[in-house]
Amino acid sequence: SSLNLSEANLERVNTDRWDCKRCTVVKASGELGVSAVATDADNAVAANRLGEDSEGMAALQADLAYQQQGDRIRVQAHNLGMETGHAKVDAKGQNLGLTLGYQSQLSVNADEVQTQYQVAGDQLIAQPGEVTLQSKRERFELGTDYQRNIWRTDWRTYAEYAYLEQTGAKATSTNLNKAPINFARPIDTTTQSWETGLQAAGQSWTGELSYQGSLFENDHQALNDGDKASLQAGAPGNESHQVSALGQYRFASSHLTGQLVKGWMYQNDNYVDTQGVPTGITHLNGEVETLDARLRYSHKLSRDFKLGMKVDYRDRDNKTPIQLFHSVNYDPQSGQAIENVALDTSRTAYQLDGRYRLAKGLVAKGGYQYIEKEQSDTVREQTDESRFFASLDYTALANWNFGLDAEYGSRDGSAYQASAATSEEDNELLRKYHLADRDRTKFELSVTHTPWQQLSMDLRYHYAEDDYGNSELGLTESKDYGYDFSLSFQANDQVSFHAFGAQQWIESTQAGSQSFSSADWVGEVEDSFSYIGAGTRYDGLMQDRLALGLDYSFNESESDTSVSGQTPYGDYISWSHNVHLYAEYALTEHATLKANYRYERYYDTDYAEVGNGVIPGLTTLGNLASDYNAHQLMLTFSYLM
Amino acid sequence: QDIESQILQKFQQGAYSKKGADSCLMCHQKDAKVMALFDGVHGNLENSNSPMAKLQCETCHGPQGKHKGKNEPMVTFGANGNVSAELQDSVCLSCHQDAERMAWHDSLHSDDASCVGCHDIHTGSDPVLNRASEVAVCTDCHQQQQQDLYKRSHHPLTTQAGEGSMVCSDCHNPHGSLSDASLTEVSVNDTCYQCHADKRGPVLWEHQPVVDDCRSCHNVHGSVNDAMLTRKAPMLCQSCHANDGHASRAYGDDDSAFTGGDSCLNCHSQIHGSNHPSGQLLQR
Repeated sequence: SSLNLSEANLERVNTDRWDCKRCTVVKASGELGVSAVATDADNAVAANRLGEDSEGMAALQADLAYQQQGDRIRVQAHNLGMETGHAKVDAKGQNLGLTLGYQSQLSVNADEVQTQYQVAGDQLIAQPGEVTLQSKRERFELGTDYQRNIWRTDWRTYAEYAYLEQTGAKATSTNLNKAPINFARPIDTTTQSWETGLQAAGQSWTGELSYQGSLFENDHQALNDGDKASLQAGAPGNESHQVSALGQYRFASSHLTGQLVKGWMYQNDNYVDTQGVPTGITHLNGEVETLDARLRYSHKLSRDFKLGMKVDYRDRDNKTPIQLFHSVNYDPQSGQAIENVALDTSRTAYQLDGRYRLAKGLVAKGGYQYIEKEQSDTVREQTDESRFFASLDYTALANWNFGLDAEYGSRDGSAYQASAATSEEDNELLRKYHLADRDRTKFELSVTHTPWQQLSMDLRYHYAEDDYGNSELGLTESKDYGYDFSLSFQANDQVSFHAFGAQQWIESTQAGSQSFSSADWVGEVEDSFSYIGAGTRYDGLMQDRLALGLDYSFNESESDTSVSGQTPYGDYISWSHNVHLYAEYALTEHATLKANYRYERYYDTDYAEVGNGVIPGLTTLGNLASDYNAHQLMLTFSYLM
Repeated sequence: QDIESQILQKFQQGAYSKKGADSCLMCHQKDAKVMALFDGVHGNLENSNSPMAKLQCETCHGPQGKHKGKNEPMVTFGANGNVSAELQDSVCLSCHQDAERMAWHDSLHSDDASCVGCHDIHTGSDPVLNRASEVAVCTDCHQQQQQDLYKRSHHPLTTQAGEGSMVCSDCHNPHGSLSDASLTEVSVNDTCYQCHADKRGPVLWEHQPVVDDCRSCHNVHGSVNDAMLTRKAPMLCQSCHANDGHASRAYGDDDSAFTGGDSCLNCHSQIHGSNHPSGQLLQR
């Protein structure tokens, strides 16, 4: 059964008198606003939350639609002009569409960092200075599409282009005279991407042929120490291409969907240093081919029972030539010859799943997945994982919803052995956690209670445990558990409240050996996270002209690490209080004045960040911690269409 | 006879109104939510693709039959709608069964929600189609992911003033896909490479867990550790490296270069792989 328009009985429809005189023709709708933004922050990190760190700024806000005949233009802008903001223009006719987009985003890691070394061109020079570790991303996008119905088939073709520029500076490290140097390295990269495709949809089938490509370029690849040494290679430029064929056929009560994707990745930038490179070779000639093939079939056996199956195959074939490199590790006298390794991977996942409505308001879902993975040149070349998952949703009781999700997974695989190419020096009792035998247990319980229409409460508890039973060294156990709750209350037509809270704990245990034999130390990492907040909104003040709102939240992240026989690691904490107070006042039927005040009290610390010279032989960037108060007032005048 | 059967029967009988939307609006035009339909593309009479240009209100709400006067039920939408989510969605799929929504029938959202669970039709501005408000719509249900966005490090998705340059649909297709977690790309790493193409390579010296899956070391929604790492160095690195030497040692808060500054990355800074001919230990 269906209410699809294509199955409608239109024999008796007579639209002769369908004049639609009561219909309104809205040409323009939405609002356009201009904001004045004042920010008081003595730390640039405040831009992460506030979107801006400079004192004064203007910004554009828009959510507008204009319709003329069958054509429509939609303009959206949010904080456009601020360090973090975006805008998009969509024009859509009956057949032709055009899209123009812009996004700007500033992420700040640390402000006023004292660096002992700076980068000039491709040279690392000893010159103390101050730098802000931040990344600014600007993305421009352009797209067009054209669609038509020909031969009872909906055809659509599209082309999209995006240009992403990233600038700023990031913390990294190198070695000078066998001593590590932390320094700020400039970021100056671009990524261009494009996608084009042809889609077709008939009554019971859909298909798409598409291509997407990407070109990455980096202006800062080489880093040298005068004429003495090549210190570091930045990310080389690379390119990627993918061709995809996607199709679906819909039978009366089943669907068959498949996709085939062939990909190529190339990297041919010249080496930043040719020392140790085989004669005549200037670049890697890096080439990886990928192949993805997926098939999904689902069948509805009855109104209450649905079954599905899926096969997902992925292959990564690294065709990069293997060559003998004469490696130079800081001391040219201790150079060693070594071959590069081209990693190949292959993964096949089989899945069977079902959904069954046991009774009204009681739905059970479940399934089984088997994942087979092969990886070349590693300590365990094959892993096999079985996953069982199930859930139960109970909604039959008035005002209550219950949900239970559970999963059990078991992973093992081929013999774990040190491979000459990768780990001949590793302790044979070590099991790398992403390849090790692992039993995974997860469950989650959720309850929603709506005692009356105005009040809604949610409570959820989750627990997950990974047990690496055969790992004597390495990660042996990991637990992740916690709860969250939320509450919303609509006191009357004007006043609403909400509150929420969450706590989470992630605990990991790992073992190591200083004697290159069995475990002689144990490390415990205890992560915790707390998040709590509340808010209220009062509408309809001053004859429905004024609305007021207040939101507050507090979050705290903490990680404690201890290793047996050693002094526990120091504080690794961050917390912040956030307040948002806002007012919206209707000046006229078409004009609104909004005031937003935001406050952030932020603090973080990291035991590893030490002053330069505190650890003998280590040049650091000093203390990168942030501890600040930030205020922001945004006044927005909006015109409502 | 239950309401759903009654509506299906009405749909098959096809007793559409004589005056179209005019007969509906005679009673419903006082409802601002009803009239807000004309702000959006679904209410555009002049666009031949619009439901209003087809059977007007009855395109979605079904044939009027004896609704007027005898109050026979019409199709209503939402969590409290009078037909199943699947039937509600079948109305939307009349026009929206296309390549972007090809995996909808097999998606978790089609089981647990419906089109109008996320989309608002009677409006000129659907919040989930606006980057500034999309994340708030998604995190209304996905609360654990929302909490992750307030951890020490996270992707910039939160709906505070300064963020929102990234949205859930940059990585996930909410209508489902053939990829795990309904990712937009064929794999986790391919999804990450959309913005982090510098990690794509290939490079001369690859780091196996990096090539395998970015989530080997990163929790992509947020972490209490910097750089969205699942654990901090040196503990994270020592989970996999126990060579005879400094990788095996039990470190504490000892003010050494193995734990201070960038810890293991003080020397092995090119942890995502190196293209330096002498970078096989990911030091260059």
